[in-house]
Amino acid sequence: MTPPLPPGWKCTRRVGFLFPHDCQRTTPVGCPDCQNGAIDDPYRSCSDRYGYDYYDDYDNSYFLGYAYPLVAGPDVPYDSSMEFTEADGADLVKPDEEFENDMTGS
Amino acid sequence: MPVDQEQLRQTCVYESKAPIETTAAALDEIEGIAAGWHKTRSRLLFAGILTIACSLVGLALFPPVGIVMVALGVYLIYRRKYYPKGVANGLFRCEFTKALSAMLARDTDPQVAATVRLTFDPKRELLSEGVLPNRRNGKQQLYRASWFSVENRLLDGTSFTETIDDLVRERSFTNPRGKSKRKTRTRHLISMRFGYPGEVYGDLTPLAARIEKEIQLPRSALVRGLEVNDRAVKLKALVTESADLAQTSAMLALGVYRVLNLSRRLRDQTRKRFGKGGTQ
Repeated sequence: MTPPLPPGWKCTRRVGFLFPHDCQRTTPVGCPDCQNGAIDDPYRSCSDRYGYDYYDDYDNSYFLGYAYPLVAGPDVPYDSSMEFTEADGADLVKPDEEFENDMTGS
Repeated sequence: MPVDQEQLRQTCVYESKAPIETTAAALDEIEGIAAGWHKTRSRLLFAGILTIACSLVGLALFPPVGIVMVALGVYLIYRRKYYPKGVANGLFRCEFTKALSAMLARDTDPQVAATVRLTFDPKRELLSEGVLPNRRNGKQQLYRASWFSVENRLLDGTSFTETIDDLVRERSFTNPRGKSKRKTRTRHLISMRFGYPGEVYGDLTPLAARIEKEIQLPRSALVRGLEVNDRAVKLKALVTESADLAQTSAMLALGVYRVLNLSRRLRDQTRKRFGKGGTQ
């Protein structure tokens, strides 16, 4: 049996078909998304997205190379300190030998 | 609100500006009406043919009765026009609109009104006409018929628009035996537009190439155009099977949204990392 809910309670589980949004239902009873509160994340668990089996999961490659251009939105000012410099390039070619050989480190 | 059957019969058009869930309920009703009209048309045709067949006997035995029966048979067949063929045979259009409405309802505020227009007997617009080579009396005509449009605002602030046009190719010629032949082929052109809010998703232009990779479609469908700018994603797809229209629409939207969701996640992640002001 579902425990009594505090007054004004609204469900904050993620629901949706195309994109996640708050459920906002005032009770999980009879909810077709979480099935009476049995599913923690109905958005991720949605199984009727045709061929999109892992709709909410992205490969790590998705996050490489695209982060920077998206920073430059209208309300996020450009920050030149985020760019690589020649010194950074040299660091990448010659890794920190001391760190690599220091076996006392955790 | 119940569907006005008389208006539907006269215009063969269903139009609504109401919450998308209401539209789905109205379409259920239209589906019932269309199925009923389809049955009635079949029954009237059968009764008309049977009456005319019996009238032949009547004409031989008692001519006045035979004449009345012929008139009755012709009337029954003519009466079918009262139940428009477009609606009666347009069940797939109803099913498609219902499936799309159900999909959109999951990401739409139940209070927000969506504009839906569904035409069961769309007017054909002639696009081109020409000679069909290597065929006697060969002629080819290409038509466009627009039969569906929807405008809806989703919960994330995206304005979603979808239209469907039928592209019809009609070929007529005389075969070597001297018979006139007519062949018709129909393709469906789905056009979608997602006017996304920049403050939520940023600029999707750098991820434009990802969208085409992300879109998965059934075998009968093919992406024919994609345009991405800092405010909207527009895409077109060609579908050969009417039964795949709903699935294709859903898969196109899922493909676009997979990249929109990624863009939002990257934006949020970068903001968290560097702070809203852009400093670490």
